[in-house]
Amino acid sequence: MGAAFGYFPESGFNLYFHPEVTPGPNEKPTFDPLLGFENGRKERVMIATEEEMRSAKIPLEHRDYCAHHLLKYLSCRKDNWPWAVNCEHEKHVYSHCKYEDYVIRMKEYERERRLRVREYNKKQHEIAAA
Amino acid sequence: MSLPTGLVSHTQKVKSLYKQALRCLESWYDRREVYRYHAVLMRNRFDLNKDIKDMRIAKDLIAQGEEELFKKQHWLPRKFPHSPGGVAHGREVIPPDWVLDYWHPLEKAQYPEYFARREQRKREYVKLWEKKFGKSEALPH
Amino acid sequence: MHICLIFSGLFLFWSTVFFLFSIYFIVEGLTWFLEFNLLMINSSSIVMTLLFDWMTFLFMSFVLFISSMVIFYSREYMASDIFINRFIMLVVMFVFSMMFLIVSPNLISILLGWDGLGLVSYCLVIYYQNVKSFNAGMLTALSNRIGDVALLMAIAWMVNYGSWNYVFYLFQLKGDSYMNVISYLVVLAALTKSAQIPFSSWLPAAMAAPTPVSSLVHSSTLVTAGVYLLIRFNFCFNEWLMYFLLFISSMTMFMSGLGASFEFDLKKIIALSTLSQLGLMMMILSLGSYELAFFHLLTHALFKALLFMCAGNIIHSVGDFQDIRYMGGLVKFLPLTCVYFNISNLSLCGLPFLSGFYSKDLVAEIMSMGYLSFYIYLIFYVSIGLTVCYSFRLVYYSFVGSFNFLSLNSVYEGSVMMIKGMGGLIFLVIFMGSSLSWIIFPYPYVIILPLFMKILTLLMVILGAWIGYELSKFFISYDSLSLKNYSLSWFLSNMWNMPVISTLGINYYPIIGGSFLYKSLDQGWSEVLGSQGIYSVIVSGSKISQIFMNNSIKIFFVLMIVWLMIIFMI
Repeated sequence: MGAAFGYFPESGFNLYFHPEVTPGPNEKPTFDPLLGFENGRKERVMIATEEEMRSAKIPLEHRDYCAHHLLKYLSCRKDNWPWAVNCEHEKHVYSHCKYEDYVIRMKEYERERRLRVREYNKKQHEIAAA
Repeated sequence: MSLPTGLVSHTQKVKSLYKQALRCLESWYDRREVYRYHAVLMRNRFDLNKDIKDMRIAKDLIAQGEEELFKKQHWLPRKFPHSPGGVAHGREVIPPDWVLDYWHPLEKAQYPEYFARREQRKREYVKLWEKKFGKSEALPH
Repeated sequence: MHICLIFSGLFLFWSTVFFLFSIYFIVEGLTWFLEFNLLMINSSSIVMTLLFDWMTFLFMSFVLFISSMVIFYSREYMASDIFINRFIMLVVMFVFSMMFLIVSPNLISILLGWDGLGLVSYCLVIYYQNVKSFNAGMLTALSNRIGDVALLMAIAWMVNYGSWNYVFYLFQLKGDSYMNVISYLVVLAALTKSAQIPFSSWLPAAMAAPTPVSSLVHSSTLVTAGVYLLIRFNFCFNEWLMYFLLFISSMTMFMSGLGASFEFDLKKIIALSTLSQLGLMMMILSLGSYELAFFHLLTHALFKALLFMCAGNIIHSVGDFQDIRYMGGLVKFLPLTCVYFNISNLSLCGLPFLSGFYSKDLVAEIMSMGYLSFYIYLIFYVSIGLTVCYSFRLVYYSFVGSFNFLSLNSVYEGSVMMIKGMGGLIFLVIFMGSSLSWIIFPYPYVIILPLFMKILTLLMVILGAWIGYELSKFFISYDSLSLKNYSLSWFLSNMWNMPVISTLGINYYPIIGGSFLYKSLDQGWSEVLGSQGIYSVIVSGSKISQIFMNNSIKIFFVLMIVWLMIIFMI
């Protein structure tokens, strides 16, 4: 069912019935970040600088990796005020960046979950062998 | 004259039950044609028992009918707005006439002719009453 | 100049001024504090502060706009009333109290506005002087009084912090024990004003007020004062309070949605609809997004006021009949009213791209993005379906179908003033949702959901519409479902029998309990243990001692022997 029905059967049921293999929603990754990546991973960089975000008085929860698009959107809004509808493109770019960020987080979650399943299976094999 | 003593004859009870039953049907069945259908059925129920001469059976039937009416009454009966129990009943309250007698004399002095006529009317009314019903003496407290 | 036109024009002017101020304040991020020194005696001064935020200006402009339309509309609606000046003065006093509540940054002036609202709404509910209105007024005033008491207690607790300006304390003192108590009391006050679950019986009863009053007071201003207070205070709520508020508001939403599906009075259905949307606003608040709650408050005020005005037009045209069972097929006689009614109903249901859609759908999506339990989802989506259910039921009963009214009638739409009053609002109902969603949110909400969750709202709308049609259709051979499930229908339509707490529970059952106690305790056990019992004990004791007073030699000799025996035994 997957994406059609939503997250509920996959992660909701798994959290209740299989708690040892399912990471909770707010847990941090427990495995080594470079495990399984022979060529290393690209580090995410913040494009918007600290002074820019501070001077624009962006609330703390919005100072993430998409803040440069947010700054562009806010400045476009202020320029076109009160016809903020003209900022459709900037808003779409910001939403797309947030979507990419969401997908990255989803992939991190799935990686964590699969590593846990792999460890669980390894432990079961050890117990079965012993 | 005709004092309400609370003694109702059998015929009056039947008629009252029939009307209340029809009003109850009106609250349950909203559309007029559906109500008309059920009202004809209700009339038939009453007509089947119309020729019973034995009063005991008739009284028993009425008691059963009132019981059924109570059980099946609607929680929001359909009332006309300006009749008692409706939404718009008693919206405009007209102050009764005797309130004018309690006005302050300074207020009454603003309308001297009306209040003079009023006193005259009151005297005439007392005379009319005593002509019709005879003089009444004050009762001891 | 007629008094209605003066105030209507004045409020309209100020409404546009405030709207322009608000959109200026949003983009610049300004907040103004105006301070007036009322008294200065030897360096101790009493200062009156007014807070001007973008939220206050926007809310004020909406309230003034709706009240200007309502006053214009009530010129025709209350035309048969010779005391219309008194009515307009009461409405204007109400609007001023609401203004005062909106601009106040401290609890004392909030109390002034809050109590003013409660008092003036009492005066407006009892405007028609029949017994139903008086009872409804008592219920309104006493339910609001509980909230006033809670607010007074919050003022008393706030003395701990030295001043009553809550705006300065909310962020820093979030977990403080005094702030916890203050937040509990403020939430209690908001629950009573916005008619949530234990105090929800006054809102359907207050429909005894004239329809312009219902349109202004009970749809957009009085009941949203509680939500506005919680929006201002929402930074200091702790987690358990938010859980509690979530539970209460979701229960209110569900209960009133069910109640409206079984109700037959036109204004009561719209009142229960307001109650359901208030539950929704409180629910959004308890999830933490106060801007979204404010957005829904504004859009809801618009289309609910319009809904009440259309209902008033219908009631006025058919001659004071409020029961929807009397109405059918009115679309032929009141076409424009029907159009406005349908548009605002569709906006309420959340039809895509009308103004209710922007707030309601955004709420559903934000809720789906969070980690909530299945119960909340169930209640929320079922309530959305129920909203559509009773809206469609209402439209089906009153407008669709064959004509159901009395045979001798004159139903026509002859009132230009009422139509113009409604026409001002219809434009905003259609376009304000999208305009506000661009203006209010500087940091856009990004929604990423799977397909099913995204269309679930629309699915529930369609499902609710179908259920609404099923509940109300009627053929000759059709057995009434409510008659078959009699007790369930009675339970659901009487708001789960909760009005008993506010009406019979405080009048009738205590008196019966009191008479029982009187007979068993006052006239029973107290007499046995108290007056009559002691009396009979004393009487029997004195009877015994009277035997000794009989001066009988025999007794004296017996006593002498007993005494000698006592002395020689010891």
